[in-house]
Amino acid sequence: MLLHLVKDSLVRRRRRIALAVLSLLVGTALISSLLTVSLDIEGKIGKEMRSFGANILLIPRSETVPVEIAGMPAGEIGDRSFLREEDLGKLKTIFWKNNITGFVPYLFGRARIEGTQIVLVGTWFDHEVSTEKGPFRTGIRQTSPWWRVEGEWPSGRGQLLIGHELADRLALEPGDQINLNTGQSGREFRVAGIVSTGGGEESQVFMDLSEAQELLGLAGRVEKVQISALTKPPDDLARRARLLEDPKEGLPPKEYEKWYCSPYIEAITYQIEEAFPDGLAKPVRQVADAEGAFLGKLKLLFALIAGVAAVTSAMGVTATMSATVKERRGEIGLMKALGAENFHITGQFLLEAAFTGLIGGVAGYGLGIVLAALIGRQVFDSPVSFSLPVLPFAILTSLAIALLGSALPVRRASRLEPIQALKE
Amino acid sequence: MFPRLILKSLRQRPGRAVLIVLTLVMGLSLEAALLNLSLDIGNKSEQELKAFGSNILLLPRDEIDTSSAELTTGNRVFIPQTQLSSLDTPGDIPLEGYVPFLYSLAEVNGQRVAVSGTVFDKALKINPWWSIRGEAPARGGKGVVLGEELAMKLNVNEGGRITIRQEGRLETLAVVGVLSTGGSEDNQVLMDLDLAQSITGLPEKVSAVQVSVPTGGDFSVDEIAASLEEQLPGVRARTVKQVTEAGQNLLGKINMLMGLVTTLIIFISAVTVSASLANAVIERRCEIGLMKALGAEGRGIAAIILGEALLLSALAGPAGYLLGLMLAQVVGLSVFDTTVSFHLRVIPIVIVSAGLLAIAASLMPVRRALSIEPAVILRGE
Repeated sequence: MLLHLVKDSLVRRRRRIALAVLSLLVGTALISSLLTVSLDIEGKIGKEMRSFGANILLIPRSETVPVEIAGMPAGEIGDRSFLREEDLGKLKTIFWKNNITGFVPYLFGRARIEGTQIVLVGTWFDHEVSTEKGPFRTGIRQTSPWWRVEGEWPSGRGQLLIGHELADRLALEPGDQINLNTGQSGREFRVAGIVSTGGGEESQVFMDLSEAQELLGLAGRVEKVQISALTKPPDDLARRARLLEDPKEGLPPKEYEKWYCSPYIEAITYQIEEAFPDGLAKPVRQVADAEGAFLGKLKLLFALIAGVAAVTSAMGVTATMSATVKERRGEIGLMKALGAENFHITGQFLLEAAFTGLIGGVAGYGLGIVLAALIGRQVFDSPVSFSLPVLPFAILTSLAIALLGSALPVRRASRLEPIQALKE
Repeated sequence: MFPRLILKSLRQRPGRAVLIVLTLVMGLSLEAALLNLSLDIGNKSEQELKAFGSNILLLPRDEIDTSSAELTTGNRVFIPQTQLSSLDTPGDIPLEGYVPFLYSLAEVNGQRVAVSGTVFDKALKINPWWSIRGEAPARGGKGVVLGEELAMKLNVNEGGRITIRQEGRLETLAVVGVLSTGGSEDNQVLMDLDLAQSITGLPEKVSAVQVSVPTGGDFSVDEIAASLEEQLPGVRARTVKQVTEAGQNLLGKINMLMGLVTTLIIFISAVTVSASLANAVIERRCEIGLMKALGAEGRGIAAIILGEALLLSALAGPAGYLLGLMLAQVVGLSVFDTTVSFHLRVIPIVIVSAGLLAIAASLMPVRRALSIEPAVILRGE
C-alpha cells in the first residue's frame, strides 16, 4: 500500500519531484566529479612536474673522482667508469617500474669540428628500449621537454644536434655538412638542428648514442643515466629513512616494507641500486626537493577547493529539498485531516526522498564521470582514472542529502494542526 | 507599480526567495574565491619555483664553455667582479639575488678535482637544496667544504685537512663542512670566493654568476636577461628555460582547472535557480493569466520575472563576494601560509556574473510565462 502511494505520488507530482531530482543530480555530479579528480590529482600534477626534468641520476660506482662543473665534464677525460647500455632495460623491472616515466643515457667525448675543440655527447633522442614488458619509448624528447630545436631532431645516422651558442660561434645552420674528428677517426655529419636550452647543452654537440659509441670506441657503454620518476612527497617515515645508512637494517620490518612499497624518491633510488649493484643512484635534489614541496601544496589547494565546493553544493541541494517538502504542507495537512498517523506521513515522504535520492545519486554519478573526463581532457590531456568507491559514495551522499533535507520539514509539518496546514 | 509587484511576490513566498539567494550566493562566492586564488597563484608559486634555483646564468661573453678542455688560466676569459657591483644597485631591473662562482682545477690529496669558489650565504639562498653538514665558510674565511662523494673517496670529513696544489702553490686547508647537493658539487672542493681567487692568482675574476629574477612580474625572464647583457658589457646572459617554461605550463594548468570548476559551479547555480523560478511561474500561472487577460504584454511579464531575479542577484552579489574573499583567505593561508592579496578587478567580475546569472536563469521561466494562454488557465486547467 505504502509503495503504491509513493509511486502514485511521485508520478503525479512529476514536476515538483523533477526539481528535487535535478538539483540532486547536479549537486551529486559536482561532488563526485570533484572527488574523482582529487583522488587522481597527485598523479596528474606529479606527471606535469616531470617536465621540470629528471629527478634521479644513475652513475657507475667507482673510486675515481669525476671532474665535473655544472653537470658537464671538465678538464681532460681520463680514467672513467661505465655502465652497460644493455642493462638499462632493468630500470623497468624494479618494484616501482610503472613510476619510471623515462630515462636517458649519456656518453661524453672530445672531438674537433674544423679545428675547434668541442664536447661530444652521445644520447637517445627518441629511442625504443626493449624491456621485459615490451618496448618502452624514452629519450631526451620525453624527459627534457624544454629543449627547443631549430631545424629537426636527428633521426638516424650521420646527424647532429648542435648547441645554440656553439653553432653561433662556428656559424653553422641546420642542413650544413661538417667534419667531426675524434682523433681516432673522422666522419662527415649533417647538422640536423640547433638546440636552445638555457643550460650547458648550448655549447655541446649531440648525436645518437650508438654512433657516439662507435666513434669513441666505447661500444655498449654509457657514462650516466638521467631518470625521470613519479615520486611521493616525503613524510615522516621518508625523513627518518633518509637519515639511515641502510633502511633495511635501520627500520623495523613492518616499517621497512611500508617504506619500500611507497614511491618515495629514496625508495626508488634504493631499488635502482638493487638492480644495478655496480651503480650509484641519487636524487637530483635540485628538482626532487622543490618538486615534492610544490606538489604537496597543490594537492592541498585542490583538496580544499573541492571540499568547499562540495560542502556549499550539498548545502544548496539540501535547502532545495527542504523547499520542495515545505511546499507540500497543504497535502500533509489533508492527510492528517483524513486520519493518517504521523509516522505514515513521515514514512511516505522519506520513502519518496530515498527514491529521488537513489535516482539522483546514480544519474549524478554518471554525469560526474562525464565532468571528470572533461576536466581530465581539457586540463591534463590525459584520462582521469576512475576509482570504484566513488559510485557508492555518490549514492550515499545523494541519499543522505535527500533524507536529511526532507526529514526536518516533514516532521515539522506533520506536527502542525491539520487546519493550519490546510490553510496554505 | 512595477517594484510593488516584484516586492509583493517576494514577500508572499519568502522561502523561495531565500532559497534562490542562497543558491546564488553559493555560486558567486565560489567564483569570487577561485578568481582571487587564480589571480594570486602566480605570486604564491614564485616561492615554490625559487626552490628550483636561479633562472638566469651570466657567463663571460667570449667564453664558449665553462668546462673547456684545458681550464688553465692562460686561455680563459672571465667576468670582472667589479662589473657585478652594478647588480647591487636597484635599477629598473628587479633582481632577487645573485651568486658568483669561480671554477678551476686543482690537485687535492693527489687527486685531480674541480674547485668552486663562491659566496656561501648567497649560494645557499639561491640553491636551497644544498645541504651542509658542519659549517659553511664565512666571507673571507680559510675553511673549505668537500662534496660528499669526494669526502668519502678521500676519506676526509669535517675537522680534517686537505692539501691543495694549484698554479704551483701548495696549501693545507681545514675542512669545515661536507656538502650534499645531488649534482656536480658532490665531487668538488668548495671555498669562499676570495680564497679561491687568491690561490688561483685570479683576483677580482669570476667564471659565472647565477641570477634569480622574479617570473610573474612586468618583465619576462628573457627581457631581463637581454637588459642585463646591455647593462654589463663582456657578459652573456642565458635564460634557464628548464624551470621557467615548466613553471608557466604548470600554473597555466592549475588556472585552467580552477576555471573549469568555477564554470561548473556557475552552471549548476544557473540551472537550480532557473528551475526554482520556473516552478514559481507555474504556481503563479493564474496570476499571470489574469495579468495577460487584463492586457499585460509579454514584455511586461518578462520584466517582472527578470526584475525579481535581478533584485535577488543584487542581494546575493555582495554577500557572495565577501564570503568568497573569506574562503580565498582560508585556502591561501592553509596552503601557502600567506594571505591572498586583494585584486580589485574581481569585484566588477562578480557583479557582472551575478547579473548574467539572473538573466540566464530567467530565460526558461520567461518562456514558460509567455506561453501561458489566459483563457486556458482561467478556465481552471
